[in-house]
Amino acid sequence: MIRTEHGVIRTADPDDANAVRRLFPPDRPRAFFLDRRRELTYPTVDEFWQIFNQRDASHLPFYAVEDLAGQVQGFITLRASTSEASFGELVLMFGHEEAYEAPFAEEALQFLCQTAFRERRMNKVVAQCLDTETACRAFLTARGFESDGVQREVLYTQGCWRDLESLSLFSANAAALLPREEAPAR
Amino acid sequence: MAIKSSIYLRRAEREDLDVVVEWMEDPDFLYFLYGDPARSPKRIREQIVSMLGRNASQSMPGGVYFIVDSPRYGPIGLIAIQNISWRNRSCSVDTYIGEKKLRGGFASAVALFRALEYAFHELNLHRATLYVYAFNKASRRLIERSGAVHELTMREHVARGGTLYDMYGYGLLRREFETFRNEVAERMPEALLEANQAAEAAAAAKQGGESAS
Repeated sequence: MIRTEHGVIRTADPDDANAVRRLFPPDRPRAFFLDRRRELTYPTVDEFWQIFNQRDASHLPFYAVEDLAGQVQGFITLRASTSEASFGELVLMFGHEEAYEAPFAEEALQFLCQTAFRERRMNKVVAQCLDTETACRAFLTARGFESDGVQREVLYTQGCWRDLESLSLFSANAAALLPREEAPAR
Repeated sequence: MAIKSSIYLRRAEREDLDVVVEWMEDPDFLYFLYGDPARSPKRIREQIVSMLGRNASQSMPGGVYFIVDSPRYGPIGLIAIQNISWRNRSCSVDTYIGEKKLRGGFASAVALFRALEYAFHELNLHRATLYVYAFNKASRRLIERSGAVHELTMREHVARGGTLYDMYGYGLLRREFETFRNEVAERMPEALLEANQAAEAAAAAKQGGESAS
């Protein structure tokens, strides 16, 4: 468990599965819930329980992000890519739009970036946002993420087509999100 | 109507396996493929068998795979229509031309056109996604000529020979494909004929050859 100035970041427990259902109702589509065919999937509580219970060396576990009151506000993780290129897919999902403006969101992103760029020495991280996820997109672009482009009409849900945007942040542009590296002791 | 050419798509047969494995083992060919370039020949063979064994005649397949064939050249490549989403009516399309001398040329263009025609007019899909490495200029040109829109530039996304290269993502919506198809029809009215005419002619020729032997 990591106590930050504005909350707590801890590995998600199977018990958190219920919080996912509460925070992410199916009426608001999220890029995180898209599978490789870009179809929306809504895992059941039991399936989330299994996801949170998985231990895979190549992926970070899911982390729950709590505010100072101990309320789970969202979940984060970093999915490793293939060994071909060193990048990872960053997942940062909060239940409420205003949570992206809260300081614990910034801390959560710093935690992921530190893991990606300092510990795993990744070259870049990528993230995806549906056109409905405006707060998440604004949060990422304000912190150096740049758009790689928009895939048009990839998802059909609630009677209309949705676009999916890909964003990326390179390690060279992430300095503001990382603690200053100390020079090795002589 | 379609582009007039003797190049056609057909389901893969067991006897195609050797030629497809031969393409896949060619380092020059692997350079353009997504996936680990160090895959063993056994792994490649298993992958191809599993891919070609999938049943395109299923009512809602997740992927369909075709051999690009020609009476003149024989099997020249492989087309994969994958990640089919029946909810989003979308798919990804990958074209592999094994014959080096035909890459990026008219044969590749016809193969891609046929695949898109199948995706939009047979599978009734709404969108096709195509990915290509930045260094694969011939394929990029081909995709752009098909009316696909350059939607994504994934910078430094794939490693080849110790260098990171960009990967481009293209999207083609059905209405854009129809526009492209109409343009082709206007530009080359003499080059149009029924879609399966060439395939039928080739099949008849092959049957004749088999009977003769």
